[in-house]
Amino acid sequence: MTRTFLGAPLARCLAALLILAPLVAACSNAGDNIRVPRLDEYNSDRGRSRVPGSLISGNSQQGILIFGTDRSGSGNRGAGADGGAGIGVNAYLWRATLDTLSFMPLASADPFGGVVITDWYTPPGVQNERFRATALILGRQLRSDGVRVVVHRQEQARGGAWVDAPVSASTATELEDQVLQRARELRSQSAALR
Amino acid sequence: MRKILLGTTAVVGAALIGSVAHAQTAPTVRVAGYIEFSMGYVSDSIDDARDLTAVANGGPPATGVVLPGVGGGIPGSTATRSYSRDKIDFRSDMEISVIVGGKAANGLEYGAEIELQMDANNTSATAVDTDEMWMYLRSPTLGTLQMGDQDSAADQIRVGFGGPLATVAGFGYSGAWDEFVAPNSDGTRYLLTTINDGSDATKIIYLSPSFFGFDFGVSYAPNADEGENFLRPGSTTALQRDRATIRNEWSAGIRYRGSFGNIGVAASFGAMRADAQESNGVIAPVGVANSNVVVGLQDVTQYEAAVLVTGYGFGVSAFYNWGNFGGTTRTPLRNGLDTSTNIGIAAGYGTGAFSIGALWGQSERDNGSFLAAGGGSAATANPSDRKQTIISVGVGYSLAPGLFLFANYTNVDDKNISNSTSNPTAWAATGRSRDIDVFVLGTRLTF
Repeated sequence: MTRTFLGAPLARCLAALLILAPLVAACSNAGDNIRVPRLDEYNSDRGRSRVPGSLISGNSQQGILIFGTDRSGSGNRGAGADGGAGIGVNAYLWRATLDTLSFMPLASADPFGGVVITDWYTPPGVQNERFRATALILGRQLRSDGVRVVVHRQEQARGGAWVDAPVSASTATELEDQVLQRARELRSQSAALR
Repeated sequence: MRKILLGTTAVVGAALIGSVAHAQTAPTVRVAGYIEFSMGYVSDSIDDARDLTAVANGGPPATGVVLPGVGGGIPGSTATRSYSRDKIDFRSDMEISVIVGGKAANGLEYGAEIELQMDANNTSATAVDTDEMWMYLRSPTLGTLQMGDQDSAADQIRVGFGGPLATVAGFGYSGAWDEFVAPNSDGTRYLLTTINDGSDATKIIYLSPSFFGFDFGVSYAPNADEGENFLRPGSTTALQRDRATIRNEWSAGIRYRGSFGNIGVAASFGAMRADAQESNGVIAPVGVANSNVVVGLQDVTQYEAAVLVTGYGFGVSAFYNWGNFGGTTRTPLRNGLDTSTNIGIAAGYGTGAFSIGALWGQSERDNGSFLAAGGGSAATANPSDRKQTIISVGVGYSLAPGLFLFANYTNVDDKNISNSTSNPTAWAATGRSRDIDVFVLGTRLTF
């Protein structure tokens, strides 16, 4: 009787541990829940920490490399405002462009040049019309003129061939606005985490 | 059963500190730096405030009037100036950092940072000296160990200004304004500070990994100075071994950083303590215990709570600290003085390259009780606590990455009718209340 009494809680504890183990493992695998903070995450009174960015690198990485090889991508160690590791353009605009155009199949994406080209896409319910978009991200800074979207439209002729058709000028502008809106959201979320 | 339990624990442990393959990275050396140029206009009532009687009564001094001398204060002294020395000054400041970093094959990062500075407010106005200089080991699972002349753990962990607050309102509670202000009688230009940074005493610092937003740090410094057990900085005779400064300084802090929706929330609590030196020759006031003998000093303590909330371009920050410390940092209080306090609130907004912010802060220091030599009538003229109140507003504009323009205005109201810090039986010869207005316009460049 006593063994049963003691054994039940023990079994429950064990079951709880078995349940918790993968949860904890999942959390640790999630990355940011258990991690070692970077050195730039601590409070500092150095003068250069009071100025955003660097005049030399043009992004948040400060300092001129005088020995060794820079393996930190574009050098960004901050929140990605000036381009994440391996990205040559503004990271917010890049991510926002991908998010915005993700409803169309992607044909090409160049994170260094900042070019996203979609494949042809036919909206649901429409049979004889298809669209294609090309987005250009123009720099490292998050600016309202930092992204340009060009939309191509084709219509299917009677013989089945696709022929170019005019696109409303507002279509591209609206897509650019969507990208900028999404970039703003991403930046806001990032700023909230700082 | 035990095997299963141990095995389960091992799974959890492995999940927490599981080994990950790391690529060795050859060391790199970087040189970074910043330079600042600023212009300040200062209107300071310090010159008008010699008449202790008048100041105590809240009125201005009379020009050329011979003062009666209050309770052993400044008998026969006159209001030396009937005008204030408003001034415009230029200021330049610079720092050069050498940053070394690399990573071993087992994932252990290592490196160092040496910061050289030329601060015109230091005694070495034309010489370069070191500010922080430290090395570190950063484990991918166990945290970071820093060794050298670096800020204390409580200061590094504390939640400071963030988001738009980082660049406005003088860059901090004792930001740009104090650089243009003449020191007070005790050598301080400001009182209002966040928890002290350990003044770059040589120390070791451990900074923990972050667990679900929480992390902590601990640091220890054997003595208050930079360097080994030898001469004190700036002296050719004072030895550190003589224990003329605080010793065994421990500092610790814990913080939380997280976000709720688009709102970032961070909070911290820090604490420090240190053994006071044996004595600094302070004479106890007449009429109290141990009168006319050298009084002891209280061990140094300081505690601080701070919070920062950011979101939608706005930022709000607040802190409160208290403890047995004098001046701006870690000066021990003599026995009999009450706890010192600092409190501050700041708010800011940033949009694009433009940011704006404001702060308010107040610090209080116990001026002790005043008793004239031999006791007597002056006992009624006890000084009140020193209270320094600061209001500041500022704007900033990021002209380009690494090039920043700023302007701010600060009003400092310093109520300080004090007795002498070295002899409590006398008024401080230059202790006085001040009302200061400071306008600063400047630019900073980083690379």
